[in-house]
Amino acid sequence: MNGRQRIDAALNGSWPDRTPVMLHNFMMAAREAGISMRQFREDPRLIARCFGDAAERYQLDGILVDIDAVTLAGVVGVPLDFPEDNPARSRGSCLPVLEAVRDLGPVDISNDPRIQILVEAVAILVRDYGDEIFIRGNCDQSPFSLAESMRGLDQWLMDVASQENDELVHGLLEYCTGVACQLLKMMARTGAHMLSNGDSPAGPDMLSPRFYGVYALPYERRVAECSHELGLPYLLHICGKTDRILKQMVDIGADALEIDFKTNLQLAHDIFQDKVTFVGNIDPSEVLARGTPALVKLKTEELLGTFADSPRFVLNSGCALPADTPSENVRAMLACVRNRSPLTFV
Amino acid sequence: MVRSEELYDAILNGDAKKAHAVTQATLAAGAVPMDLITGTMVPAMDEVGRLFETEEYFVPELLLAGRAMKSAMELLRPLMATSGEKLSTRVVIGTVKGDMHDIGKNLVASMLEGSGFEVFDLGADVSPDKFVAAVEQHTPQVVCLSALLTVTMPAMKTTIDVLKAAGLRTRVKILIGGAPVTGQYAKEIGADGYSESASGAVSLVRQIVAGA
Repeated sequence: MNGRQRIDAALNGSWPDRTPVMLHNFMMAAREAGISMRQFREDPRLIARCFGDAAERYQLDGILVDIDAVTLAGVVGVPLDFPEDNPARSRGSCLPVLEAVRDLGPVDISNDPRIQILVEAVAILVRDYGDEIFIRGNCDQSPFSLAESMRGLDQWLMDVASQENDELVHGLLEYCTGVACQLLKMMARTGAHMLSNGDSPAGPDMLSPRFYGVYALPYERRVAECSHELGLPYLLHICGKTDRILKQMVDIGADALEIDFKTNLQLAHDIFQDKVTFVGNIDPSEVLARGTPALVKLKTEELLGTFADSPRFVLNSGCALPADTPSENVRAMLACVRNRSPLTFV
Repeated sequence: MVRSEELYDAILNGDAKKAHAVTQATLAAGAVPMDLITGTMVPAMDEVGRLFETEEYFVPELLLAGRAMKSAMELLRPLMATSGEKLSTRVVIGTVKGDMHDIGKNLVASMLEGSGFEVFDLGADVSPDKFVAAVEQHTPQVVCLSALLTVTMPAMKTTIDVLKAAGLRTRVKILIGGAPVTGQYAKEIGADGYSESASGAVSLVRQIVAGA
C-alpha cells in the first residue's frame, strides 16, 4: 500500500498494511526547509516544497496542508498581523457590535490573494504527490470559530451565553457557514483527497456541551454535508479536552475527527468504534517538541495500543507541531509505527 | 457585613444590568462598599470558581459573571477612592510580549478582581519593560504572566530576567499560566508558581498573601 491507500483504508474502516501517519507540521516543515513563516505563506511553490520535502524525509502517508488559522478571518475583514517568524494571527475583531451582522453583504473569497496561495499550494501537492500521498486540504476555520474571530473571543462567548440576541448570533453563524463552504468548494477543485476545518473555541475548554450543540455542531454538520456533496471525505479538528462532546461530535457526520492530546483516549476509542476515524493525538508541545525520544515512544505506544483493535486510526500530533520540534522525536514516533508487526492489525 | 442575595445571584447568573441596579439600590440603603465586596462579591466569585471547577460553568459563564461583577465594581470604586478604603493586595497581570491571546488572562484578572484584589491589567503583547514600569508604579505583591503559545513562552523567562535586572524580582511573587505552561516550566524559568485554571490562580494568590 502507498500512503494514500493507507489513509483511504483507515477512512473506510478497512485495515491498512500499517498505521498511517499524517502530521500537522507546517511550522516544522518551514523551519526544516530553512525559510521563515513570511516566506512560507507568500509563495504556494514554497509551501508545496516544504510539505513535499517533509513527506519524503519522514515517509509520511498524508500531507495536511495548513498555513495558519486565520486565512478566512482575513478575508471577512478581521485585521491580521503577519510576523516574520510566526504564522499570521488576528489582532482584533471586525464586528464591534453584533447588530452589524445585519449589514454583512455577500462575500466572494475567490479573489483573495491568501486564499489563492493556499489553494494553489494544495493543487501543486496533488499534482506532484497525489498518486502516492494522501493530500488533505485544510479549509481553515469552521463557522463557530470564524464568528469568534469576527467578534473577538470574549465578546463572542458572551454573545452566545447571554442568549439575548440569538437571531443575530445565528445570522453570523449562517454568514460564516457560507464563507466556509466557499473555501471547501475551491479546495475541492484542487483534487485534494479530503477537506477539513478546525473549530478551536467550540470545545468544552471554552463552551458548555449544551451551547456546543446549539451554536457550533449544527453548522459543523452543514459544512461536513457540503464536503460530502462535493464528493470528498471530511475531517473536523477541535482543540482541548473534548471528552464531554465526543458523542455529539460523532453525530456531525464527519468521516474523521482529529482529537487533541487532552482528550481521554480510551473514551474516544469506545465512542468512535467503527463510526468515525480517529486522527491524533500525541501532545505536540510537552511530548513531541520538548520531550525525549523515549517519552515520545512511550506515548506513541500507548496510543497505538489503545487503537490496536481498530483500523479507523491515523497517527498525528494532537495539534500543530511547534517549529522547533526535534526531528529525532518525530522519527521516534514514526519508528513505533514502522517497527510494529502488521500482524497486530489482523 | 452586608450580604445582598440579589447581587450574589446577579453575579452568579451573569446579569450585569441587574448587578448594577442592585448595587446602586444597596448603596443607597447605606451599605459600605468594602462590606459588599467581602460579604457578597467575593463569595459570589468563589462560587463561580467552584462551578467552573466542577464543569457546571464554562468560560462564557465565567465571562458573564465577571462582567456582572465589574458593573457593580464601577459603582464601588469611586466611593472607595473618596472614603480611603483600599483593597489590600495588588496584582499586575498581562499576556507576554508577542502573544495576542488574552482570554485566559482576562479570566484570571476577572476572578482576581471579584475575589477582592486590586488588579492592574496590562493587556496582551506586553513587553518586559512595561511589566517593569507597572511594578514600579503600582507596587504589586504579585505579577501574573500569561502565554497561550509555545512560541511565546520564552517571553515569560525574558520578563522575569528583566524584572531581576531592574532589581524588582524580590519585591514580587511571579505566577505564570496558559495552555502550554506547566509547573515544571515555572520552576525552570524561576517563577514562584503556576496554575492551570483561573480559580487555581486565585487560590495561589491567596496563599501568597496569607504567607506574606
